[in-house]
This record gives sequence, structure tokens and C-alpha cells, in this order.
Amino acid sequence: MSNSESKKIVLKSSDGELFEVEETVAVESETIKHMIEDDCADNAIPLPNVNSNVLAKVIEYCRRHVGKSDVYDTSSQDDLKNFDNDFVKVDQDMLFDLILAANYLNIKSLLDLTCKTVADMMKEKSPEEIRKHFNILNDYTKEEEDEVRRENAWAFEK
Amino acid sequence: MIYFGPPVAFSAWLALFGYQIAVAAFSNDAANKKKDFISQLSDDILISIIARLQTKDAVRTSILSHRWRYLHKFVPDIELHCDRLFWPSPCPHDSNMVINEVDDRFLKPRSGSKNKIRSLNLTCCLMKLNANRFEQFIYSLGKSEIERLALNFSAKFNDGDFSFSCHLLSHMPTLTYLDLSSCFLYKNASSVLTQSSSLLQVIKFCGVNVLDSALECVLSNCLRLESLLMYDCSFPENVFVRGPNLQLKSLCIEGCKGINEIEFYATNLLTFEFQSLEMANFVFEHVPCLQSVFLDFVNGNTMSRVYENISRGLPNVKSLIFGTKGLYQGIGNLEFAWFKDLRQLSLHFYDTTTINLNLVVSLIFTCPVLQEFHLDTENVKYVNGREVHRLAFAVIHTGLKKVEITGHAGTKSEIEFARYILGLSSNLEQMQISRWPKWYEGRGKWVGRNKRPWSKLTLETIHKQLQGKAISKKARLIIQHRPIYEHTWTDV
Repeated sequence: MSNSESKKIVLKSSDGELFEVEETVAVESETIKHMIEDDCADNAIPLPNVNSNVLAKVIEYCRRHVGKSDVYDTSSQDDLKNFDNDFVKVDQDMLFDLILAANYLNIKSLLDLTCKTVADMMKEKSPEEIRKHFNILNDYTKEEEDEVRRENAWAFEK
Repeated sequence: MIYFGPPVAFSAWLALFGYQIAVAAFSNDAANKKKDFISQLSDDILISIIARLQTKDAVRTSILSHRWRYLHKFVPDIELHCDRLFWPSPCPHDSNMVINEVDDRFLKPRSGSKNKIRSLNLTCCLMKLNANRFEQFIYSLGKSEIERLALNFSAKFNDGDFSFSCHLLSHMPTLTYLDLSSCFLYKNASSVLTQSSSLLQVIKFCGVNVLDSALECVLSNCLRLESLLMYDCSFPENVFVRGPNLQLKSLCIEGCKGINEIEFYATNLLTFEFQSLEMANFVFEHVPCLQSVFLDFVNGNTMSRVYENISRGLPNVKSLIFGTKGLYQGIGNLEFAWFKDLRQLSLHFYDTTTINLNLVVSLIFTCPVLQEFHLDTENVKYVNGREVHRLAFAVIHTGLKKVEITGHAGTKSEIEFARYILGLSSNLEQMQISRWPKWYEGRGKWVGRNKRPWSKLTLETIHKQLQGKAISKKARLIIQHRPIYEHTWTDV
């Protein structure tokens, strides 16, 4: 864990809010890590793609995950799993914002977690159910849809 | 906010104003709920989402909308079964159709794109495959920078008539993991192997018929190979585990047919596991690093084999585990350190084996620096061990730290044996006695089976007879119903 004198980094969200975090937490993001390495972190690091709501959530995630890569410590891994499960219980708006943030900030484990959450929402659903769940508009004509179905016939067998 | 209605009291106006804000917020929220957020994500993100679905489910997303039509073609990991691909038509399937499907759907679209294929897992019952077409296919996989490849050619349908030539490996320079099932592995004499810079680290063969010199061909071309696992494979009579600068660290052969002798010239080999119904000879020409050996002939006297001809070739072995049918009777006559570096020894007997204490104690003393000793006594019958006291050498073992006796029924002679060990191990830290048996199954896995617990009386007797009998002051005695079954093997 970081000691009390660990270096602080200031992050600035797209809506101008400032977040002070320990460097050890901030460098969970590869993007921020590189900025720090390139000495671009003297002032607040601007994150123009991440708003304050999302950034607060991302920081919460990183705080919890920092230094928790010991896969052999099963009890702390279980805690972390529970945290992750609760962490992604958010509305779709936030979930996709988190994906975008994880992608932009290059936090692999968060991107894995959020993408897997979305994939799990698609599992064992019919295409109609998936469309409804994510409000996807079916823009195929009847003929086009039949054609796609033919192209991929084996995937639509029972 | 302009209010055009008749004048009202300020508080009423305020309430109405608040309501209208709420309505505005609500309808905004409702619009959000109807918004298709997901389709606005970039291709890369959508691909990494559907990459977490099974291949079939990923392909099904093509029907959602135009946005989704071709995304599945770029998922990094592909798992296909031809019986699903061609359902409901039965096996065997036209191999060219299978190959074309994978090629057209998943390989061709990504040519030149940054979306590489990471793994392909293809299970197929193929009809005679055109070797040139297959080679071309392997070449395309290599071009797509494939890292992990698993091909299972369900032999029950085609009688294993699919052949994989070892020179194909040089077409896939980025491959790190290969799993081949149910086929012939051969060395195509006419194909010239380009000096490969193969990255292959792990190879698994299952039900593969390994033809003459095919294994040497693989070994001499996979210079980074660390782990080779072969299950239920057939081999030529003489197998050579050797290659220039062979990096191979672990070799596991399970349930093989046809081997008469394996000759080793493997400078970096650390672990060797061999489990088979058929006996085989091992010639350890050069294995300076080999530390850990597991041998289990199931139907044979592994122990005699180990003591009569293996020990000489393995001067540095540190861990020896074997399953054996019968004991090596000559052991009582060995008067020198046979395994001078052995730290860990585990023994499991098939069928009922009669042991006397003399032999077991002699066994321990052939390993002067032994630290951990495990004996599974489920099938062991002890005979009176009184003659142990007449051994010519000193009966104090200074190395033993951990002794585990499993399958312990609590009979008088079993208790006596445990007591004897407690009385000769001057540095013992722990003795574990368990009712359930335990034996090694290979690849880091220990197994056992359920047994009725000791009766209360037996348990009391074990405690009473053994408590305080250790000559080592720090020895802990653990008497338990069920031992711990570790699993430590990792398949990279």
C-alpha cells in the first residue's frame, strides 16, 4: 500500500471538476501512467472524455483494485469479485460511459469487467430480446434480414 | 419559463413550475431509456464485447441491425464444432466446406486489418481432406498471427485418417499453444522445413498416432517448447526426446501405446511424468536438470524398474512419485545411498501388497536427505517388522520433516509402523495420518476416495499409541479423516 506521503495527482474531468488521487491509484490507468512518465502531470491532468460522475466511479474502482493483483490470496480475490459484481449494477447509460472511460484511460481489468457485463446481458437472449434490452433499432428490410439469416444459418439453428 | 395562464398565487405557480421541470426531466430520462447507447460504441469495443460470447452467439448478433452485421467476423477467439456448423447433416462432413467456412467467414475479412485471430478451436469429423487445401488454410492462420490452435478430428468418424505434417508448424510462427486430437502426426519427407523461429511453448497431443521421427521433427523445430503433454497416443517402438538446444521443461505421457524405449537427451528437462498400462524402458542419456519424476505402470512393478535401472540415470532427482504393483524385494540389500539428492518420495500400491517394516525403513534410508515421505497404505498389508531393529546401519533419519500416511485403517501393525517412523526421525516437523487414501494422478493432481471413518475406539487407540512418541521435539501429529488433495499443475 501507498504510504501517507505518496504523491498526489490531480485529474480534471470534462465538466471541470478536480479530483485529487494518489499516484498509485491513478496509474492503474495506463493512459495516465504514460502522461506521468512523460512529465505531463505537473498540473491537473485534463480528461476531456470523462465527466465527473463517471470519473468518480472509475476512481472508486481503481482505489479498490490498486495493488490487488495477488491472485493467490483467495479471500481478497473473493472480496474483489463481490465488489466488481456490485460495481457494475448501474444503468446502461453509466455502464457504457464506464466502457468508454475504461477504453480511453486504458484500464484493462475495468474494460474486461464492463464488456463482460454487457456480453452477459446478451447471453441466452433471442435477437428480439437483445434489441429490446439495448433499444437497438432493426434497420434491416425483411429481404435483408432473411439474407443475413441465410448467410449465418447455422448460428440460428436451435 | 413563461407562464401564460391566469394569475395564480406564487406558491401555486412555484408548484406548477416544479412540476414542469419534473416532467421535462422525466421525459429526458425516458428518451435516454429509449436511446440505443450500445450501437454508438466503436467497432473495437463492440468486438471486444461480442468476443466474450460463444462463437455461435457472436455470429447471431449479425441479425440485430446493419451496424452489427459483420462485427462477429473479427472476434479474436473462435470455437467451432462442425456438427453445429452443418446441423442437422450428420458426420462426417465435407472437409473442404468446413475449412472454407472458417476461412471465408473469419480469416479472409481480416486480411490486412489489425484484428488478428488469437485462437481457433475446431472440432471436426472430416472426410478425406485435401492436403494442399489444408496447408493453405494453416498458412492463412499463420498470416492472421494465430497464437493458440486446437484441432480435434473426431477419430470415431474417420478412423483418424487425418494427417498433420510437422512442417506445417513453420507456417504459424506466432503460435504459442497447439492442441491436436485424433490424427496422425508425421514428418513429410518431401517438405523442406524452413528453419523455424517457432514460439510454441505448449503442445498437447491426444489420441494422436505419432509416426516415426515426427516427434523429433517437432522437438527440433520448436526451440522454445517448454511443455509437452501426450495422452492416449500411439508411438513407434523407440522414442527419442532430444533436439538441438531443447528447452523442454516438462514432459507428460499418459496412457500410451507401442513404446518400448524412450531415450532422453534433454538438457533442460525438469519434470517427467509417465503413466501407462504398458511397461517401457527409459534411457536417461543426458538429463542434468531432471528433478521431478512420476512413474505409474498400473500393471507393473514400477518400483523394481526404478531401483534396478532408473536410479543410475537420475543422479539429481529431487522428487519421485510412483504407483506400483508390487514392491522391490531387493531393497533390503541396498547398503548405500541410492537417491542421494531425493527430497520427496511418494508411494502408492496397486492390489494388495505385503510390506514389512524392514523394507520400508530400508527404502527411506536409500534416500539420506529425504524430507517428505508419503505412503498410501490402502492396499498394504504389513507383516511383522521386528527384524527392523537388527538393521546394520543407524536407525536415525535426520532429514525427514514431513511424513504422510494415507488410507490408514488403524490396524495394530499400521499404528506400529507410524510409531516406528516417529521414533527414528530426529527432525520430524509433522506426521499426518488420514483415513482416506490418496495418490497422485499426474499433472499436479492428487486424488482419493471415500472411506468409512475410524470407529471411536480405533481413533482413540491411534491417538494413545502415537501421542508423545516422536523423538523430534517439534513434531506435530495430525490425525484426520480426509487428507488435503493438492492441485498444483498449471498448463501455461
